[in-house]
Amino acid sequence: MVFQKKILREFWWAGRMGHAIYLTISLGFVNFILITYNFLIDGNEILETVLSEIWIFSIIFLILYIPVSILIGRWHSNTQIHVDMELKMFEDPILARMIRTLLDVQTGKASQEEIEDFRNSVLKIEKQENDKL
Amino acid sequence: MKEGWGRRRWWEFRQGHTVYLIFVLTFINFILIAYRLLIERVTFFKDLVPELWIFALMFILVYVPAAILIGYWHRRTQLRVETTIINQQNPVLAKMIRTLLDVQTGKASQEEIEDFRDMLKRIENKHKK
Repeated sequence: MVFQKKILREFWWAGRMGHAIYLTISLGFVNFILITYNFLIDGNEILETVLSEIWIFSIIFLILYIPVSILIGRWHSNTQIHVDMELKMFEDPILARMIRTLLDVQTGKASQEEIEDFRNSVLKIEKQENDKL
Repeated sequence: MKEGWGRRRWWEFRQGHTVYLIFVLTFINFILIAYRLLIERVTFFKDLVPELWIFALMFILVYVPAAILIGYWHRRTQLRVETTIINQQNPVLAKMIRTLLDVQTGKASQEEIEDFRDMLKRIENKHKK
């Protein structure tokens, strides 16, 4: 029963990843193309002469969007992610405590009681016996 | 780690899309839907905001600072709660830290150390399969 539950949860995770990382991109594109074409381009004299059909608009949009997105993502990976990580790490008390305790054990600063307390708390997380949220 | 060229571009595309450009698409979607289906159809709103571009400008002027303020509040108050909850639900990280502690304090048996090392090697080498 527990095994079945785990399988179901893994399927739920896989489904969410499939949706959030892959399929939602297609949904977003279709939404954007339909909404923009029907509510902005269609009926506008100037835009309609350039983009007379929805498929032309879709192709132009995709041809421009994909390389622009890759370039921005490349810039983001090289310059922004470390800022994001830094902000997150500075707001991560559990990880900070883990590393600090390991450091204290290494340098002999941690008391036996502190080590035991810490060990019990990570053991609880490991066995998922931590207090319910 | 050497990942494929296509996979790296796919990662960059997703970063560009999900972290930046999706905002533009969502803003345009929202502005067009709200204007065409709500503002244009209600006389009171139409009198207040007679043109699409005025609505777009007003929306962006209100939305961007509001999002920054909320994001700042989130970082200062909520992020800490979220990282704590996520780490409390991360048994693999807990096992890693606990085993390092046990090695340091001499509590870990040779067998446990070897098992742990094998697990790490399996994770490390997974991408090579």
